[in-house]
Amino acid sequence: MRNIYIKILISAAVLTLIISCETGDSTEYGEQLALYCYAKADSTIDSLYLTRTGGVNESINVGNLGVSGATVILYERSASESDYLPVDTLAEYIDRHGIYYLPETGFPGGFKEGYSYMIEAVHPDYGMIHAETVCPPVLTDITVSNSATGVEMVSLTEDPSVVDTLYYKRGESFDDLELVSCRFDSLPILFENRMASFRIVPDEICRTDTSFWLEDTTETVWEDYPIETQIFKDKKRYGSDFMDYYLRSIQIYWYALYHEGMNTVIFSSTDQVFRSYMEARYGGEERYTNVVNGLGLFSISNSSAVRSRYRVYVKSLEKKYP
Amino acid sequence: MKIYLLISLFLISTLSGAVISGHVKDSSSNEAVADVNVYIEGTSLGSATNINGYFVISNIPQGKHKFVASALGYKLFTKEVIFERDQSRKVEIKLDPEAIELEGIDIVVEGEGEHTEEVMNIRTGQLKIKPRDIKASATFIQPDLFRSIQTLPGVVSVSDYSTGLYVRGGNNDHNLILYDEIPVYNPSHLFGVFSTFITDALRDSKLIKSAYPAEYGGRLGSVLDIRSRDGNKEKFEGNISASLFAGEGVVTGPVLGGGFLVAARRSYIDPILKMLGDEYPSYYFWDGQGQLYKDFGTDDRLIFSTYLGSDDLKFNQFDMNMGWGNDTYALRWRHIFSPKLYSNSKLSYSSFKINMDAFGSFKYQNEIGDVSLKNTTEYFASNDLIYKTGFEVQRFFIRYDQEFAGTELMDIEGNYYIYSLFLEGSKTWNSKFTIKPGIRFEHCAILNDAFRLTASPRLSLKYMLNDFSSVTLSGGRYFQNLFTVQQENQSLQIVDNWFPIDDSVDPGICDNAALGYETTRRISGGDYKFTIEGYYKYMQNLQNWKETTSATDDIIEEMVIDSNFVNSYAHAYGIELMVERQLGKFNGNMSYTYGKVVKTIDDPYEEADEFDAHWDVPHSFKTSLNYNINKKWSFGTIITYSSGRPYTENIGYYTEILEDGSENIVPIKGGRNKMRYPDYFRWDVSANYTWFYKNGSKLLLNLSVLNLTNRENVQSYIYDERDEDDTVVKDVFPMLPLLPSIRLSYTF
Repeated sequence: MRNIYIKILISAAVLTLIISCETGDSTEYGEQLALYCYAKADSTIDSLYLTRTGGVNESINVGNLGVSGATVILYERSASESDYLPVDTLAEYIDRHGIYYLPETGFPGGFKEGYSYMIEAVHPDYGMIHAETVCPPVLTDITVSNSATGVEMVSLTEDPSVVDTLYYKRGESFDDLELVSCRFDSLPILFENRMASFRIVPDEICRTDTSFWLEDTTETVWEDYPIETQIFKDKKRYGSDFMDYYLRSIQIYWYALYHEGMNTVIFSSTDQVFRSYMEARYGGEERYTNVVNGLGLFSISNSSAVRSRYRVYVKSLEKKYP
Repeated sequence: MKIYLLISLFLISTLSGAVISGHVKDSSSNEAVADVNVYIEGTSLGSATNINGYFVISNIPQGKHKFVASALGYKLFTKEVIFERDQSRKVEIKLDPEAIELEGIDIVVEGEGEHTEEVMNIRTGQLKIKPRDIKASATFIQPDLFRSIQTLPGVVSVSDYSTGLYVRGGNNDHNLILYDEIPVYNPSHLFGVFSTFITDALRDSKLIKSAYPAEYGGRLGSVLDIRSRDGNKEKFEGNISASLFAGEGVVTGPVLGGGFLVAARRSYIDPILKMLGDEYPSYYFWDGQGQLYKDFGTDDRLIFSTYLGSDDLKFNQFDMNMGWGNDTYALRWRHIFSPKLYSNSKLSYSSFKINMDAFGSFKYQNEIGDVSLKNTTEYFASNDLIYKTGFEVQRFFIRYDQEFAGTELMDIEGNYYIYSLFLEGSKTWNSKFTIKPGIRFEHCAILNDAFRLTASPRLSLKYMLNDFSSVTLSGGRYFQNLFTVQQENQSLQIVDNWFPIDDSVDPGICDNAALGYETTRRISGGDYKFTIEGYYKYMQNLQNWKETTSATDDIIEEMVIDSNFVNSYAHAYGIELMVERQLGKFNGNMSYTYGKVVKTIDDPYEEADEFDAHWDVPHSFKTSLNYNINKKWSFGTIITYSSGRPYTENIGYYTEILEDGSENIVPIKGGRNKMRYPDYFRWDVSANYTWFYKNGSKLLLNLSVLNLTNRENVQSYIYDERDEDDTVVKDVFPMLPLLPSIRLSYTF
């Protein structure tokens, strides 16, 4: 009997040892550079962020992880050329750690439609990284219409009396509200399977009631609040020459968009890099990168702007949301 | 009817020698008893009862014989019977349950060397779970079939919070779960914390861990065949019980010349949650099980059975309403054409629905179900040759809607059909060697007017080394046309969302084989069964949700699986060792399992590489023991010690800059599932005390303590960003802490 107990004890000890040793293999962490640059056609580079990765329990922000002292060079190549030619070397902001810019004098005319660009960053501690992209074509023939009436909003005058009125009935879900119908010639972009985004930038003071969700309307906040959303295009769904898109505020649906004034609606066509980035970003933690030997994104967008004046009119204040 | 008569006359004419056939029942509950060893003493003539307790012994020589029926846990039944030449006798045998043996000596019936039933019953990877075993064990608040199954070798549980079953390397959706032959799609409550079925309303359950026979189909891995109690047609009896979380009751008795059973359960924490205010959700669940049967003569029985269950969750703070549940109905007809020809037909409906709306903008609905017509016919050609054949027509329906902020993200609705036909045989030579080949054909008419025809061969072999030892080998090819939406990094599934495959992808395929050795040894007066089983599985066309699907704002309105899911394949292999003692004062089982699941996923953003599946638990030691001190006191304990599950660690971070200049912290992932959580250990104990009353009723008090050592087992790691210094810290999301519970159960 004693032997059985000894055998059981030995077996238990061996089993414990086997099971507790199954801990997996930790992947070795190596520091890398991350580069972010969202460039715009016809402009130069305003901000290029160069940071390094941080380990667990390290402070993770640009201030701490910004990388100074790197040599960052922009290269350009037209469609007819085979080799990149250097444009200029970026300078680092004196008071902004790890943020670089390209003075307008060094890049007259900015990024050109159809040209390829490469950014190269070299740092003695982290080696060299580089990223490439192509400046996309611009969207054309954009019209903005009142969704309710279908009338084109051509209030390009500064005359405040010429205002398109958009109706929002309080008590209905704001998400279903169709305020502005945007239409543009999407063919050049659609057939390349890219994405466009648009944003509304209020030119005047825009009133946004941030307390709406909590039904506490005693305090009203006035602030400029650009509203942006992206249109993910796909040939199958938007398979026509023109596409309509209704302005909705899906990301901040609990805010009441209650503002009036002159607005600039900016449409941006983006490069394939940005589309791939957005595709990979949604739903997962993995990020797409076009930075070779590093992380981040170098993307160029091409914008068109349409201005219009409108006011959102709240039809009823009787019913509570939702 | 004429055809039936002709068939019956033909079959009777093929008889040679006398025949005895009938059903074996439990004398106290009048429930059918499966796998009972029935034989004619002193001969090699014998058989075993099927799932409905039916048996046939043929070719019995004329004269006086001793008929014997024996089963584990029942007193030996013997009767002298005089058989005339070519006589056909129909009998109903009632076995008396064996009282708990307190002397430590097992009463095991030995048929003097005749173990016909033993050689014919190929049990590779099969385990039976009796309600009494579930109730005797330490319980999580209340007895639960699925939690008991999780304590068995070869079954992995990924969480204390989940009743999900990962059997022999298969995924959670590779299990065919049948309740009275009806498939149940989502058998859990409270996001998997409790399983749906009421233990006191169950007769018995069988888990076939792999290489299951041709009568089952539609899943890659295992079969869990759950049978409810028929109902007692001779007397009324019942049971009511209350735990900290829910109350339940079961009543059974005679009605309209047959029997019925009604069982109901409801959780009752919702009033408490309501008192706590709107910051807490309101939640309850309920179940109802019912069975009604009537015999028409000795050869026909009609059975109606149903299971209904629902969960209801409201969370006012998030404007959230959520409801989900299963509805199943079945009408079954058992008919004995002749003693040798036994038929079982069913018409069933099963549906799982979930509805959710939240935040005033998110709406979600999923429904999966089927209507099925099935027949299984057994032909007992002789004592050592049995044929089984059948067909099934299933009409599946599915609906999947998802809407966010007025934008329809998914709108899928469709029906499709599966027509199945199977044939299997079982032949034994010299009471030593049994071969059981089978084949199952499935014609799957999927959407887009496409169809597939699959053939699934199955084969089982058994060789008796001696009266108490055997070697078995089983294998086959299995197909699956339905799968659940899963992401590789998601170990806790709230509910299973089922999808049928379409013509853009191939059905899931699993080739598997299992080899086993089983022997029973008497040690110190007790009979111990030792089992060693090894298995290998190769699984192809496993579908994983494509993480980037939500990046496009296309409405998913067509069943294009290929564009929304990524394909993967997996190898699984392992070995299981178990020692078991089913009877005696001290009973239970101990097991050790070594099992691996290595998966490869075709991720469009990564190179395909091998990694351990998130349910890969290589080493697992489990023990479930019960000790009956006397008639009133009993104790139980369950110990589980296993390797930690794999996970993908965050090895670093970087700052993502968005277009507007704002910052995001993004983790840098280590290798996929390269790291493992700490090893898992849980020790549960229970004590039962029973008061017996003169009127035959009894009251049981069950006290259980889960996780007696209060070990902090890790469910997952949460990486929290601290606002004060932008530092990311790694926190543990723990599994269940020490948790005492009490349960009262009154049986009358």
